[in-house]
Amino acid sequence: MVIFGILSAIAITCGLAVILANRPIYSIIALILCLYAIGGIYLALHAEFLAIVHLIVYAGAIMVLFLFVIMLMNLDRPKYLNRSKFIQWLAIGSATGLGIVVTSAIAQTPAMKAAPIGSVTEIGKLLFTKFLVPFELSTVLFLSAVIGVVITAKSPTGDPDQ
Amino acid sequence: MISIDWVVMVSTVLFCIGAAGVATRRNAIVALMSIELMLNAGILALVGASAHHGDLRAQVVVLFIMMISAAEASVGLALIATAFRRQFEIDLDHYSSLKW
Repeated sequence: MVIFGILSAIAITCGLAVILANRPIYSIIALILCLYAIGGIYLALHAEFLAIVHLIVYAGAIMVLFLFVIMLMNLDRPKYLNRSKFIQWLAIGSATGLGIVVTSAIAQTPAMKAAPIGSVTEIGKLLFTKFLVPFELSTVLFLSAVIGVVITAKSPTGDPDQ
Repeated sequence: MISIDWVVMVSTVLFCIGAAGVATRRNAIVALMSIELMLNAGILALVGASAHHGDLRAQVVVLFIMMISAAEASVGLALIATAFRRQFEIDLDHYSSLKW
């Protein structure tokens, strides 16, 4: 429970840093720290396989993709705010209101009983028996995503320097 | 034993931070990162529920969410790169021609 509290504090602090940081590169570093803290929470919740996959997929692949785009295209420019203060406060207020509504909804739901948890083998069995069709469909989704990315990001003239 | 209330509470806070980021930040990449943060908040709530009920189906669903999030991030970054190449601008307000 203590570990969970520390990790949650790190995750929330880094999450705030993501949206408050002045430069995108700092946002990415904060987001990586936040994802590591969330992975630690998975470990504390006895979801070891998910924790490892989370670190590999998010911190290892997606965040590196973000970093590559920012560094290769030289996008790291300081914050450019042309929204009025009113809109900003409105956004912050509505996000806070959303939090209050969800929290009160959680507080009113009755508590549930805890139950034991399985292992990696169980996840694999579920994935290849009960969830086999969604699993195969997700490969089709990935294929379409790859083709879409290649076609979208290709320069229109075929010039690699552009 | 971690109470599920606290897990869902942390997940809610993270989701709201992400929502505020999407609403306030005009940098396209930071907006995309805020969306990733919101997805992770949802995943965290699912993992908490899975640990609480001892039901592994939620963890399999989390695996699918991770796949979809990876595909979404790559497609979004490709779109941002293409739009930046055309307009030399990363600010979301400059993409208003995409509205129609």
